[in-house]
Amino acid sequence: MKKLNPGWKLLSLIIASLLLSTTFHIRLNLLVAAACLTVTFCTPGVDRRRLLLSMIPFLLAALGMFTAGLCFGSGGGTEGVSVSAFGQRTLYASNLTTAMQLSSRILAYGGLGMLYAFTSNAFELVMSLMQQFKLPPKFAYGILAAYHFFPVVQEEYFIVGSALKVRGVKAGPVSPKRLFPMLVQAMERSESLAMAMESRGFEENAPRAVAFSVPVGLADYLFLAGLNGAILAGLTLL
Amino acid sequence: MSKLLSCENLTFWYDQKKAPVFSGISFSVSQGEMVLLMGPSGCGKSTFAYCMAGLYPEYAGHMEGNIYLHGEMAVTGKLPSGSYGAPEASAGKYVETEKYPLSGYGPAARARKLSILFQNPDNQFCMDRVDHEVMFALENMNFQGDIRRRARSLLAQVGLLEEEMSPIRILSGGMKQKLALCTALATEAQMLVLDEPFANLDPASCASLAALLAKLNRQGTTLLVVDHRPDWWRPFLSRVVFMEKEGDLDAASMSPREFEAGKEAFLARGLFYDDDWLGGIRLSRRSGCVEETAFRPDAPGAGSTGQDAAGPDAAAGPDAPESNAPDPAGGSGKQYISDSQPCRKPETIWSDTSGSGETMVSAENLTIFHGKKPFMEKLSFQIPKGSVTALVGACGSGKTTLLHALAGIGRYKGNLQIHGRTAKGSLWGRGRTAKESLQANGRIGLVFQNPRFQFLGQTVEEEILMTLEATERGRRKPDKREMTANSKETGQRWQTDGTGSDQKRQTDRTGPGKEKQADAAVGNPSAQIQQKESILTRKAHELLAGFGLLPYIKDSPYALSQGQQRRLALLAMLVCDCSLMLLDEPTYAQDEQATRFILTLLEQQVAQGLTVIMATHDLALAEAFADQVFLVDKGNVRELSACELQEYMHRAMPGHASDCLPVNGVRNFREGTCCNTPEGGNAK
Repeated sequence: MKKLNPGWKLLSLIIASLLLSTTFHIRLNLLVAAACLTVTFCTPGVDRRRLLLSMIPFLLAALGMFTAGLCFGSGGGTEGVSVSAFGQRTLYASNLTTAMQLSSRILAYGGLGMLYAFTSNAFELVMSLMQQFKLPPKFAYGILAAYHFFPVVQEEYFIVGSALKVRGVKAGPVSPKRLFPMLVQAMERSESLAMAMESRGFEENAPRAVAFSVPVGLADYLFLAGLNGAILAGLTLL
Repeated sequence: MSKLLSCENLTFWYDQKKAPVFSGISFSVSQGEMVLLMGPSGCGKSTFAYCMAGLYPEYAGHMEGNIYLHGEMAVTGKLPSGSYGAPEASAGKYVETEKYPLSGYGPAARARKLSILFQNPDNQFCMDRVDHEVMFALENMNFQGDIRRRARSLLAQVGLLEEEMSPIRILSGGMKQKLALCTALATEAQMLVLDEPFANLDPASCASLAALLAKLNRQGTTLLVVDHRPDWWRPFLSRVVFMEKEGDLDAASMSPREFEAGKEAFLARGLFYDDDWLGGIRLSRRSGCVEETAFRPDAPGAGSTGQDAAGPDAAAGPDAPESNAPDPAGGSGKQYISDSQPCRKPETIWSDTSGSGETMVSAENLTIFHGKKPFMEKLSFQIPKGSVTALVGACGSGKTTLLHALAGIGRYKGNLQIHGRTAKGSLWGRGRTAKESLQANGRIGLVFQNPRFQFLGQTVEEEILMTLEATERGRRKPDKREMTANSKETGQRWQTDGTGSDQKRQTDRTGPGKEKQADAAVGNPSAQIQQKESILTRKAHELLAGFGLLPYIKDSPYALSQGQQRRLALLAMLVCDCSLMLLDEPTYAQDEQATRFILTLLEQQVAQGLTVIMATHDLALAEAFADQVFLVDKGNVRELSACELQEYMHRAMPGHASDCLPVNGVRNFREGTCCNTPEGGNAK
């Protein structure tokens, strides 16, 4: 999975998710979720602990949707079961269906997302977008620079907090007193960076060599066709 | 020698409604030269460098005049992409052409001719890894061939090959500047413009970078360097040019021969010539005589011979009457604050401290954390009250971390006592809270390395007023713990009643109740509050005038230049009534006059009981100004004796001859000891 071209992989997964969104298909959703997670888990070099941790929000959301759909659905229908848990409630079969549809869809999208996120690299994605999908270099390197500056911004937040503490000034976590210096620093950084990039010869429309080529291969097209074909088959057959 | 870059009649405004930064400047640089452009901070030399590099007016401001790149046309007669307007040339001939306007070059073509290195190495890189950054530059140049191999050879040239795979974030300042230089080499620029490249580097990095630049210059690269200090450039510079507001800079340039004789010209402009100016500082620190001085950016002829730090511009503040008593300690023309403060005799030259000899900071078995990991362990040191301590060490050795821990914003474990009270360390938390900082007995002030993070006010005036008001409030309603003689003493330091420091030191024994009674006696509360406010405003104006920031009183702090911002941050902290002052690189980007002013001010405060700990790269300054010097190295803090410091300086700055020379007749280390005798130095 990791060797696939990130741009094309992204395209395949977007198409897949669009296909899944056309209809509610419980079994297919669950199948897709399970398959994606299994593949991601089995891909070598994936941080499995982080993967499990990041599935937690999805599981919580799915659980939430499930119970909400079950208990507060529109109801009606003939089959109902009375349970005494959580007060007297009648659970209807149609509600169960709705609940399952919603929660399985969440799990499917989560699975697709995790499949992408844990097998791809932001740097390669941006390079691939620039090379295969004709993203202008201006945007590509801007995105990359911003991405690389995240840890710096975190440090800055801490430094601003320290400066306030030293002056004996109290400020809440998102108060303007903290954010304003960070904003000024961000603007200055963007200007410095732009000047630096330009002085290294970065020009919008000039011909560029390619140092980090991200190739496209047969595997990418097969993946695109295969994934979406499987989903289509599932939609029609299952 | 053929010209490479020239400008005619250049005028530049940041804001067209205000005065231009410079007007009608003409200047030229020839192939293979090494030109040093000098001037006091804020004079516009960086702006000029940016204009010459082609970055302004695109990124800021409005420019009039012409800048030209001179060059030969290539054999094919084709122009570099993006440029225009050259006369025709037949293929197969080299043609010496007229100059091309710089504005006609696009960034890629311009980068082949000249490239600029910035002062602040932090915000120059768009990639995460060292080799990626160099390859980015090669990509921009449309390099045909094996990019990776070329990148590796360039990195080897600057000496960064071992760090090829490292993330840029963890590199030290010196390595980042080398990486920037490497990317400039990748563009194969014929000329490099360097804007104060050594501003925040330790001496070892400065030395290696200077050697690299000298080598490049020998190989034919032209260099235009903007800097305060000529020390590192002296071995290989072609001429020195002073930045003026207008006129022909070439006419006033100095060749190296004239340079040696031209010391007065330097000092008249408030620039560093060499380290002799420290002689006056050293003397005043040892003897304890402090003089009053004020900051005058346009003072003509602060032109002393450098041995004397007083200058004719003393006593500008409203504080002290002038008295021209001759100086018995052997300096020349020194002035005292007032007759009521006699000059203390030097007892021991090396570690004399004013004050009662009590300990301000005492640390035992301290472990300091950086993030979650212990960074420095088993630290033990003592810092006496009323002394100046310098922390020296390479970039990244932990000076800043130590200062942050002392200030209460870093995490540490162990026994740390500040001014007799145990400062709470914390294992899990984030150091002291804001409330605790406010209540800490006599506050601890910290000036960060990057002063821009400390500004809280919208204008310069507001910045100082805020601190004055908070201090005033703290004094009027002191917490029970604050009601000690010491905090009252620090509170007296900034009162401008024009009396000598002896009177300032007398503690005001009135309690808070009495103050309030006195206030109530004045009149109705709101009028009295207004009166208080206008007093504070006036005081703020006085202080700002003393620091040379009065013209900018209504400007935003971010609009000031680097050096001015640092002065403002320092002033905002000094006003805070601290008893312990922690300074991170206080003299970064300051020219001689500003540095001298800051040091003199600190000296005055130290004489009245302030304790100063400063982290600095400037070893000569540390040696002259500090009472004790700690070397922070490899997770350890160790005090250096005078001789050990000299050795360290020798190793770090090979070009400097600042060894055991007598200064003004006074040997600057303990009499009778020298580097080889067993008595010299503490064996640690």
